[in-house]
Amino acid sequence: MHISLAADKVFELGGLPITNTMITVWVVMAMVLVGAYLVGRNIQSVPRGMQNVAELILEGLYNYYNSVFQDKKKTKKYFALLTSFFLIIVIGNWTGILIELFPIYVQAPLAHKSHEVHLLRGINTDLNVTLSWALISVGLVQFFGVSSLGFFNYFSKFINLKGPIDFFVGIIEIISELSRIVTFSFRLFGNILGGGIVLLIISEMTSSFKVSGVNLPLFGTPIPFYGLELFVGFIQALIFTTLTLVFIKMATEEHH
Amino acid sequence: MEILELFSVDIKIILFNIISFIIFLLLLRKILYRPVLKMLEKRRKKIEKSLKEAKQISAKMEKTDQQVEKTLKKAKKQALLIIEKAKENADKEKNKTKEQAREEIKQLKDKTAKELQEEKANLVNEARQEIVNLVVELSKKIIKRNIKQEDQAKINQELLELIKRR
Repeated sequence: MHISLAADKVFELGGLPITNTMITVWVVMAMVLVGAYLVGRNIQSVPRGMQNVAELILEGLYNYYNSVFQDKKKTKKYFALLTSFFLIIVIGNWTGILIELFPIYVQAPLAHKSHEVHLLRGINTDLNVTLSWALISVGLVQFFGVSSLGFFNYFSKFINLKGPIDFFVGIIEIISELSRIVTFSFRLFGNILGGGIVLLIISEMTSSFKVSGVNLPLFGTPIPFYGLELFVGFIQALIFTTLTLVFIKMATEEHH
Repeated sequence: MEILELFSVDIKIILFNIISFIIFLLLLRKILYRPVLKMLEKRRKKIEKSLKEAKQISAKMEKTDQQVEKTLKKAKKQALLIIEKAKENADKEKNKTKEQAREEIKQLKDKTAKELQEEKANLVNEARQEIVNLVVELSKKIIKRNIKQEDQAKINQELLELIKRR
């Protein structure tokens, strides 16, 4: 049993290390894009087959965002970002579970030490990836805040010289804004990595469960945990999307 | 930053991921979000329009129904009126005919009565004449003498007057 906190480098491309999570990010994105293409190329007003599923998800998310924004224009504007976050995270989490079930090993000849590494790794079990999402989220929230309120109006939230209390409130705002990067990235990373480790341990334990020297096959034991992890994967995606949604809502409205 | 090393955080990888995500987002927006949202909006509008139209049609139908009912009511009323009038007319006609018949009968009756009266008077006159004649004949036989023609006429006259007077 091998648990690593960091992703493994599979090969290097002109100075850029290509890790297994990067490969998986592309794989997941490609999967989502292919699915989206298959659904999106033939949209009809009377839905059939997969279009129903796509509509159910997209319309559900749309109504969810709109219930927070209470503004159709805003919902439309931020729909793409929020939905992309949701899709990449939830599909990434679920493929992560599948990857753990069916691991693919490759030799990594371009790494310093030639050894066997996983070709794929759940995307949100790498801090590089979750940190990327967090940076995009927090960065774009600042951008949206500035673009809808104006530069000075938005940043007056952080730097306020009206009085000592306002000044300290501004500093606290800065800290809370920066801490979002950490909470966003570590929440997702920790939950998904932890879930993966739980699955690994449960599978390992039950596959070598011995009673007085006899190996007892406890075949179905990990199944509930897989169900749980599917649920956690969905919930984490929803949390990430919801927090981004709420932060956008807070940033684009006049503060008092 | 020891913790970043522990998770082997690499700014190059992060930048690469961010660029990947932005491309992913733009592609998804083009091939999925836009067409689906557009279609949903279109469908929503279509449904709204259909509902509105249905409402209009039902309102129109109700109006037509009301009109039909109104017309029917009017027609019924008129029909009743016509029947009433016809009945009245018929009654009048009947009464008139009856009256006429009565009148005719009365006339006929009167005429008959008059005729009868006349007949009766005639009969009575004749009878008187006869009686007078008889009386004269009788008187002749009794007094056994011939009365002159003019005397006879005179007597007859007198007798007749006598009888008439009674």
